[in-house]
Amino acid sequence: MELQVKDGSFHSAVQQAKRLLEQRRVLAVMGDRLTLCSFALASPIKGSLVGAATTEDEGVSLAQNIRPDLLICSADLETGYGLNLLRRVKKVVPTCQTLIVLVRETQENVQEALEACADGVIFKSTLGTGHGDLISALQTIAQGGVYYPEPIRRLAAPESPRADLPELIEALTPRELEVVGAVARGLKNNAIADYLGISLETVKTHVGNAMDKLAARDRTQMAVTALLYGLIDPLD
Amino acid sequence: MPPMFDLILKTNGDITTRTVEFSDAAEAWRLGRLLYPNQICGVVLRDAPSTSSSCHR
Repeated sequence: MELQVKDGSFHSAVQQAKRLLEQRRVLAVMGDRLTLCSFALASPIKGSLVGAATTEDEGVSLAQNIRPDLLICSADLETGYGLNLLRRVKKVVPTCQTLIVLVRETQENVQEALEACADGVIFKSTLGTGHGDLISALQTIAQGGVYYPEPIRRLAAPESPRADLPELIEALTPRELEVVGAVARGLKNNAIADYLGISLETVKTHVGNAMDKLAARDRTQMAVTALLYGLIDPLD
Repeated sequence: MPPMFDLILKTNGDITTRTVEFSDAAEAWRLGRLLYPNQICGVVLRDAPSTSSSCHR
């Protein structure tokens, strides 16, 4: 993989990462010393980094002492295991959000990350590819969401829509689906408008249309029905 | 008064909801995932009371 360091999108990613991390207290725990040192020296990270370590026990100890609000860790550590670290940090600092980088792309690993309540999971193989996985993860976590990109969700628990549901009379438009997905992530209408770059009135129109198409009485029923039909995934 | 959120929980393919008060959506997700780690699949800010229900629609 060639890292496109001269590419505009690379510089854009650096700026976005800096903006997303500037108010954070980040603890980084990674098994590879070169990776950890490089990460700690990177301009978007270094101002927010309050601790760094290479082992599970060091990570837990740092978390207890410095109470970070974001843990970024790798699954592989010098000693211990990244997913155990994540579980232990959640116990000692429940408000700390967690982002883990998985090396092994297996269902077992992904399922384990889900069960450990990781706020974000990315595969190491996606880093540096220009797909913006890390930035998307940081953005989603900053908004209070959880980030499990499509390949990871496919591995985790493939689910089909329920077979006993009647066919929808009218399909939802892509924009309506985006709005319903945002509703199911807990966003207010004005936050959805900002997120999608549309007006508040347009959001209300999409919500109204989606409720009609799903025969829903309220926002919650709309989200539940969309989930039952497999139309949205708020964990996206 | 804090806003009300519905936590959407999925268990063996069935969906239930729990209504709770949280300061914001991020907090709702956080506590939802702590309380129902394997079930939480959505969080919805509840509609305002009927007198102003149109404001969220």
